[in-house]
Amino acid sequence: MAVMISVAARGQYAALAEMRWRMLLNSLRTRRGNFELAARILGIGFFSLLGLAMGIGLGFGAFEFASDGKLQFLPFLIWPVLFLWQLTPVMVASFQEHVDLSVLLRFPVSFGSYLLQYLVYGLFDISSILGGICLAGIWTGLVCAQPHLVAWVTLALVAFAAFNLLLTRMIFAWLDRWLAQRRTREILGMVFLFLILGAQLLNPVYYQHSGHRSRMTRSATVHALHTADRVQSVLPPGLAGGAIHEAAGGYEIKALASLGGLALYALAAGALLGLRLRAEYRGESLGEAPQRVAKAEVTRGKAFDFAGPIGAVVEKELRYLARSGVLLYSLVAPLIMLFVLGRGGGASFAARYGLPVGVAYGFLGLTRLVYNSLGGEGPGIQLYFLSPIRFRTILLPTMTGKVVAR
Amino acid sequence: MDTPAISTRGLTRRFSDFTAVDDVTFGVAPGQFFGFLGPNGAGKSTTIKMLTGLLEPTSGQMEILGEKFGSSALELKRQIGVVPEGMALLGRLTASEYLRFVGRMYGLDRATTNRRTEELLDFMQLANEPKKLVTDFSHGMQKKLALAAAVIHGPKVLFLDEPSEGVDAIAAGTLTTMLQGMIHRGATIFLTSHVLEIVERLCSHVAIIHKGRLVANGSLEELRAGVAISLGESSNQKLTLEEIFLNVIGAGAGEPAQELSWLS
Repeated sequence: MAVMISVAARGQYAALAEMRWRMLLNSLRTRRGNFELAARILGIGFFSLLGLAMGIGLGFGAFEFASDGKLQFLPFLIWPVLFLWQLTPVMVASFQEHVDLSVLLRFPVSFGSYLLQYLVYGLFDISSILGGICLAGIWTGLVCAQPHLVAWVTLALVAFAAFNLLLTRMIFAWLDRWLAQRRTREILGMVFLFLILGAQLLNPVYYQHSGHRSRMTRSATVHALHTADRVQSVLPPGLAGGAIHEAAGGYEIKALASLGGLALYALAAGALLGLRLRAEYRGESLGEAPQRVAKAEVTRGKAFDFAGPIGAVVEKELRYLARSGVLLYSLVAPLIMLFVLGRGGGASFAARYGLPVGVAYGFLGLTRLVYNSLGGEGPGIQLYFLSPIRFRTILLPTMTGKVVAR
Repeated sequence: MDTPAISTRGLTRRFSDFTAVDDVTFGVAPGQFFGFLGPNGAGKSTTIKMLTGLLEPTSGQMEILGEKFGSSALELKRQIGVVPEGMALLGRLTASEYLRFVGRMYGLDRATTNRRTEELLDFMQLANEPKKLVTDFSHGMQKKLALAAAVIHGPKVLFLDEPSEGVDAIAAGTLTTMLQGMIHRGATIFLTSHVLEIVERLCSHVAIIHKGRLVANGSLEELRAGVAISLGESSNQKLTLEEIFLNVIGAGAGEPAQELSWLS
């Protein structure tokens, strides 16, 4: 702990803050930098307004629950905050700046300082800002309705915020570790893609079984809800809400136990984060270059062998397809959707419109070609420009390959 | 006997089933200009990353200035300077901003950092473009800046990974002058380079790594004599470092590479 606030560490924090500030100022020298900043300000403004609206809504909800003595329903407000905090980083990943702190490892930076900087950067994430605004709304609502609970509410919500911050950073640290290697990246990519595909299948499955739903007895529904409540009560949002509810009822020991449980979750997330960052700090390398060197000597059988420039481009397209999980997914997913949506034989809405919707979905992949079929080539496109062949010779197999693949 | 500036024993690094550095043992005396050579993919950069604490060895031991990485890691990092493989520059800063940042990260006070920044920029002939961002620098300018950043805190041991790559003759001369000056003032320099003329001119000792294993280690004279004996030539015939290198890694022996007869 002492090394985290030593004179040297404080000097490093100041240097880092100044460096970030200078980088921001320098980026404003270019038109692109100005546009990027404007886009970022707009994005943050939009999300802040969204957060403010949610925070006000949650605040009113919390005020109502606290005023009516229905604090047992508090988890209904806290669970959405958890989902918001954990899922927002995925949604905003494309425009949020990613800071790679591993560049600091060559400097005499202690592990404590490294960990602290990692967490501080997390504080400025959009997810943390949104989550913080929502929790501030809940805090305001609860404290306005029951001011004597201010200490308990503050403790529970701060612990919940700390848990969320540690959990997000922990998930991202481990995702970074998995995404750093091609094999794990592909496995993770396929898991995500099948999850997305699975989510798309939920709707037809729901409609198919909607008849059974009405037959579900009231007692079975109540039993299911009780089970869900028991499970959620031992999870962080349930523990945070439970601590406040129990404190309001005068059960301080139970409230403390709930806070302890929440602290344990935060500690577990922090420990997993520490484990990952410690490995990074000690110089774990996830680079694949050496493996690639080793594997480069393995000669594969000639699966594709075409002559001429058209054949060369087709061969390249096929190799790209074979090595890309995303492309394979976009090749297979429409067919699966066609199969699923085209199965209905009755007169229902889903059966009548399933096939046309599936066909439209299948054609969706082609729309990308309208814009820029060569966009994915990256710097390799220069080779096409340098090749002593007409550009249509390149475009023909490129477009054909992609259309056939669709 | 002086404590070696750098010493390794059985240093090994594996990536899955590939061994990048295999049981490497050597020592570098204080004040030595040490050349670490090897073909592409031989394990030079991996070794430098391990020696600078950026990569954890799979097994083996290493000491810098008699200290092991671990409990002394912070103190060691203050004593060493490094120009890493990718240079690790921050593109959206100017050269002086970058050097000031690096100086402060190494714990130098503002006055010292500012003074050394000015001196280094002048010495490296980078002072005449104060507003230019690092990302807009040429490759050679970036190399000079990376070297300036590696020495701003006055390291006792300097690790240079291909410092002369992409650098023009004028800049190479500047770098050479600076490095020789450091050696005269007692610093130790560990250098990897593919430009064997530079290594031959600067380094007193050389080690050669090939496919992860250390295949030669000694002073230039020792290596020269060893190769001359293996070739059966008289010792007074002076072999160049290139000839020594090619013989040691086995590329100089046997059939010459087949010519590409279709090239006009």
